[in-house]
Amino acid sequence: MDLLSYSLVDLIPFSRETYFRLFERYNIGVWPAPIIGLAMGLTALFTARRADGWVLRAPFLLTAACWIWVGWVFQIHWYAPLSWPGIYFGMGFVLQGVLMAVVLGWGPILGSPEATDRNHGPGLWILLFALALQPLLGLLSGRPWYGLEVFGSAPDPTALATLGLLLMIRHPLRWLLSIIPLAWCLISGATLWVLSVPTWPVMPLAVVLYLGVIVWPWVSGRSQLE
Amino acid sequence: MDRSCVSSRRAFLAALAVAPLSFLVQPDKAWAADGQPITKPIPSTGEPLPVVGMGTWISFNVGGDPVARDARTDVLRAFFAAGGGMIDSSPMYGTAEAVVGSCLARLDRPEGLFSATKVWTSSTAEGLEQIATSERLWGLQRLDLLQVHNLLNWQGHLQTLSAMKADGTVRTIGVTTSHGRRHAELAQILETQPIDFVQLTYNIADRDVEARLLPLAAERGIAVIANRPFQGGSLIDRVKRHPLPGWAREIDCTDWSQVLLKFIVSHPAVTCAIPATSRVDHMEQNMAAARGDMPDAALRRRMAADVAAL
Repeated sequence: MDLLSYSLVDLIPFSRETYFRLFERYNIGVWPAPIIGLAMGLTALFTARRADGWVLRAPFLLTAACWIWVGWVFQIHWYAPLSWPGIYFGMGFVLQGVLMAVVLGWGPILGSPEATDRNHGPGLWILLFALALQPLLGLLSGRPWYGLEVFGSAPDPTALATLGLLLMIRHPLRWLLSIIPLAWCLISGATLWVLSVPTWPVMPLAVVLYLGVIVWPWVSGRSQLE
Repeated sequence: MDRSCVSSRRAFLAALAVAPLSFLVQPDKAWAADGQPITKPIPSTGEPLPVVGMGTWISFNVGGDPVARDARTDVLRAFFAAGGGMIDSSPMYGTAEAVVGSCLARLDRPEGLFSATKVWTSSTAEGLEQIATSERLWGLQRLDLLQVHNLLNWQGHLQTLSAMKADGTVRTIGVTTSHGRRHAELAQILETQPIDFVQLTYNIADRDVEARLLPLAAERGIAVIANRPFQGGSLIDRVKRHPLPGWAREIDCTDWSQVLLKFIVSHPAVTCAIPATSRVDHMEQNMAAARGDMPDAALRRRMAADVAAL
């Protein structure tokens, strides 16, 4: 398929109304998954602030499970029928979940001293935003509470929370784990922009913030993360 | 402006007689005034087609949403009540074909439907499976028009479609583009391929096709479907901030959508336009553009100039 002959609008063949209704139908259809996802997010939030033993891996394993759920259930079974790239998004989400589980939930992180060397500043704020504030942004667009996007079952807060978690650790493969969440932030921002959703800049701004926090120590000559 | 009173049957018989010369028919001479919409003949078959059809891009891609499906059924009901004919869709439009099929079933397969969809895959072999899926989704054993979407693998698919047409498993065939893409290649196809329809973007603001493609289609006896009549909504959003010009009354227009549609379908080479909507009131406004007087060449020039100046 000649992807270069298609524009961004071609990849989003639905209206804003249909997109919002998708989340309403999805939340009802998979209930109580949104509540379970949110509970997992809160668990990740509290365990992420601990730095000892298996608890270190808990937020990443929980988040990895959420990526797989969102990829398989939301992207492939709910989103893809509306827009064919959803299949590829779904595969990307599942891959991200597997990568996180393998890289941060298995051996390599154990005994890795730098893995526990965490900075809770910007990462914690991004995580808090993704869990508590980002879902409420939907209300600004006039969406009902049962159509809000929450961590663990919807892609945007899950991706954003993951970036927050990744900022809270140092790991040699952090760059690898950042690729898909960052890419999704840009894809989602573009989708919301095409749909004229007023909150579209949130996800692209998260990319800027994330890369800024990563790059700042090199730019400034200071090692803020150490 | 002339308004002839001809019945649909008489229009059909007349169209059969003049089909090869249909591109010479002035649109303001071809009107029906018996409550039915104005039609133009498909050059290759002579079959009359209402000049305003319906697109399904975005508007009918609502998935399994029962509320939205109810609303789309109402839209289709209004479309057929106004004498609508062509519904155009594509496998690329997500669930649009499934939704159209569901709505048609709920309306007991209205008479007058001219089903148009597309084949959209780079694989010729997969094209056959996709066409079978489309027939199933529409709930039809035979589609009226199959088009190669966006010229994707048009060489392979046109062979398939030509064979299907010869077998009688599809009535007419064609190719599509949109957004002004690949016009040179499209011209080559019009010059060399035995197709019934070409679909392209044409509206009062996007008029590149007037120079070569529309005259070429007329010369070759190929019906023209104009997509993106409102530029996906942005054109009508831009013009509706302004009051309707005085000449709008001369061609029986009460809103901008009718002005924009009448500009398109009054071009002698254009067979029909396919605006998309998810609202019954908009559908009724669109279908009203298939009635009343049409602009002549002089007024069309004035319309284009006035809209460009807005």
